[in-house]
Amino acid sequence: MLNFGLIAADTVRTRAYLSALDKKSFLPRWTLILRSEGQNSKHYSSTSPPVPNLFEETLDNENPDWFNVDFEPDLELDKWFTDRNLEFEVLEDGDINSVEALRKLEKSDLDMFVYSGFAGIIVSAKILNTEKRFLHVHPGLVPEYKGSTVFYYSLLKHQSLGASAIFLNEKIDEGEVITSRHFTVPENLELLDSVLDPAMRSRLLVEALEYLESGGTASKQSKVGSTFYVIHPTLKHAAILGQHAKAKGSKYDSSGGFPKGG
Amino acid sequence: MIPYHFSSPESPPNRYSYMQSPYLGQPFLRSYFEVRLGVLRDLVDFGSLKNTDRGGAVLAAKFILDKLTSNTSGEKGPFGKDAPSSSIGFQTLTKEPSRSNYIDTQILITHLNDLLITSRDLSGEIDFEQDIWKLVKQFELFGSLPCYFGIEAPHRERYKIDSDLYFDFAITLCLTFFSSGNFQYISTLLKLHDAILAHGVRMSSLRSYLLTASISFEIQTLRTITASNNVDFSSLDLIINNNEQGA
Repeated sequence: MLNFGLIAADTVRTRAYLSALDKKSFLPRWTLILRSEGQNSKHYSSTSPPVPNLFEETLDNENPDWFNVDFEPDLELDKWFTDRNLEFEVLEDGDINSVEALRKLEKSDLDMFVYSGFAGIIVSAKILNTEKRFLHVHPGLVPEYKGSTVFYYSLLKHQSLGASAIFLNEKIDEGEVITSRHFTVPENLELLDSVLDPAMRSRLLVEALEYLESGGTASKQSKVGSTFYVIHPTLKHAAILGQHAKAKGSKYDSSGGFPKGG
Repeated sequence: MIPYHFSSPESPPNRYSYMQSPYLGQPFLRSYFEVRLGVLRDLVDFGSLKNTDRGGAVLAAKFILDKLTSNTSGEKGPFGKDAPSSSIGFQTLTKEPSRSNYIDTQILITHLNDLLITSRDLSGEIDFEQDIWKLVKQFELFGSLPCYFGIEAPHRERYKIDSDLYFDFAITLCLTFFSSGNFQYISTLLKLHDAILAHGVRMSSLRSYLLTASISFEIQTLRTITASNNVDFSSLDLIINNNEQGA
């Protein structure tokens, strides 16, 4: 059985990971929970639909890409680990780059951690130089789509979604690739951030762990692609609403054409 | 009604406000269109430039407006899918290495715009997207551009948002998106327009002309992606039609 630890920010993504790991009995031997009032993205925004309808409306369970992907958005993390007799520690300031985090990681005899940190936080060189490997699932196909909010750029340019499981290194999303895959694009993308993204990543996380358990190894990225920056909110809306328009047979031309308006 | 606030002087945007912005549905997009179209209505005044200043920047803006009226698809253009491997700006502008360790960003942008509108087939020979990407990176990370670019690193001194070069940079972003189809350039263009509008930058007729072109390009791109038909685009259509008649 694969021996690994988990770095788990108190987020929806972590809950999706735990659900997926539990189903496949890939349980982390030790977990460092990152908790931070300011960064907590556990709950949905006020515009999100009620939780009970979340998955029925968003995920297509007849589609193999999304089948059996679900999680409890309000799961109590501490209880989840306690119920399973799994060791965990909590870092109240939530800072993966803190001295305390470094000390805890150095103390651990585990050499691989699944990384589920807060969005937008870059893991420092000090942490990366601990000789541990940090498995991160990036919501885009590398090397073409590195950086932030790339699923929106990918949707706009190629009308596709993808994810890559990589080992972190000091360059953003340029670490060795364990595995990657495309996902079919659901018609309803309104909960891309809060549901589809964590669902997609949790599915690929399990596939990456299965691959490593079977003796698979990571490989260097073959070429240098582009690193994207946080997408503008208007373009984010365009990506989501454009998908609706496409489903209705819009004339949008992804090659960059500009049909005269009307 | 959800207000589009990113170009509001009361709450100028920053990296975090963009990152934390939730999905708000069709009303957000409608609000964006209405705010930007309102800006266009206030801006349109480029008749005065018709027979006077026909410099590079105006030609570049005209090029963009022509693209909006010509109804032609963007070609793959000079940039391939991969990251650029060389840098035409430094290659062509640093002719005297002894005093050219730095390039003025305004000169770099002007040069890039000239190349973007005059080049017909750049594939294989020159690849200057790397220079443009450096500009994008600087603007995305700092919300401004450095005064100079060095071979190794950009200069610390930075152009303020009320400088002329940001109007030229908007044109660069339009032209580069048209060539590459990479939506990073539209995302940065949106942020650049937000910054210019939120800071209430003073408008000369040249600036108005350039901004009219770049905002028209931005709106038309968003309109096309979303196939929006629930917004009154008459002010944009008027600009496109006037340009067509004047061409």
